[in-house]
Amino acid sequence: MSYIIQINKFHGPFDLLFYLIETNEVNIYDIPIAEITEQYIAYLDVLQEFDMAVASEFVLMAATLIEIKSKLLLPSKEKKEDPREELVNQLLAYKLYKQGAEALQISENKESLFIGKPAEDIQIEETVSEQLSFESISAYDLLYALKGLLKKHPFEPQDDLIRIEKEEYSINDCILLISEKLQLLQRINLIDIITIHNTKSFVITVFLSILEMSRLTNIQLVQDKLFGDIYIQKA
Amino acid sequence: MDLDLMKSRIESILFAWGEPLKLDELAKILNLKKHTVRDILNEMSQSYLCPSRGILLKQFGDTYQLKTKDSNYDQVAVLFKTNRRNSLSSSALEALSIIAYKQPVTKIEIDMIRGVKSDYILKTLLDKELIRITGKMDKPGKPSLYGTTDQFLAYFGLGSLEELPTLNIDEKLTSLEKRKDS
Repeated sequence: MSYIIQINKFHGPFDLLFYLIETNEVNIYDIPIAEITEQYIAYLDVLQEFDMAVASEFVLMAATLIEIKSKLLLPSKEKKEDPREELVNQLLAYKLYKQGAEALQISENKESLFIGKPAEDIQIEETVSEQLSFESISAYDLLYALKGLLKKHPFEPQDDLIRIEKEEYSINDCILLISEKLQLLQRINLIDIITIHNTKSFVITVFLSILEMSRLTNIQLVQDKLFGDIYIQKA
Repeated sequence: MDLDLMKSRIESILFAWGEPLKLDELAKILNLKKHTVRDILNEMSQSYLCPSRGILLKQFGDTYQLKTKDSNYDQVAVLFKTNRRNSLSSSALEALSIIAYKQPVTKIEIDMIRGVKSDYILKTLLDKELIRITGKMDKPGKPSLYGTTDQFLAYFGLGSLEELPTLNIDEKLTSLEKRKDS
């Protein structure tokens, strides 16, 4: 299992190659290709056993190494370019940015000692009330209003007996009541109506009648702000 | 202009905002010229150096942020959970290093230098807003060019790109690259 840990610490073929060059203490400008290639492929074998997907990235480098090795073996009459040159070039470029990465890591650690706050979601309440039209009030807004109300005025059962209450208020009665009120006032706070009679059946009836009235577009429901009070006004 | 008033306003804004705030934005809020705000900020950051202060005004590119003093880290850190630090992986640092020193740079160039594909890492770095696409290269395929952001400077505590740690460029490498170019 220790193999995995060892292998995973290489972030790419150059990283592995660099590691080999450093541990073998060889001159980067005069890499003993045969030796390094052999070691590289040995690592690759281990790597492939564990992770094929990652290993594929290392295979190209192995092929390059073998190509260079074979070029070096071929006898050449005239003095040609060193086939290792391009590889060395790439290795040096990689080394440069690896050095940059290490320098950045130091900066990262240094800067992490200075603590800054993340941006806070500061919400400042708008003083100008934005009027939401009925279209933008969903059934959920009504539900929230009802929930809030029930929280403020809990309808605790009086005793263990289950009471079946007579329907004291009909939807028609409530519609009449709201219409009457609307004759007198510009807008009515929903809470004001509901709290006329503090019984569950009345609250429910009022809600149903408001829904009915808005369906018939007799009234408009207005909310000044999110989760604010709901007002009833003439359409 | 009341200098003290402006300083006080800047301090309030930076404190409330928390994260690095753009100089543009400050200038707009205060209705002042950018260079005036910069001068005020420079003066302010000097006064924060006073030993009795626990906060510093730091500048990262065109952004400014209030941060606690590093010398007080041990005491402040007591309040934090130990896993607060979420540092970048070595692969991410590698890619970031190439982008930082070589920008603007294409993905292919980054892949070439690293010898591995960097798609996933670039996506992560873009998400973290440490890098951004600065433009397209005028070549077939119009590859995106990547560069670092002010967020990058803030993350590594750099005032500007000039403050990037200098690299010991191998003389042989530059000569090799020169030969390649010619």
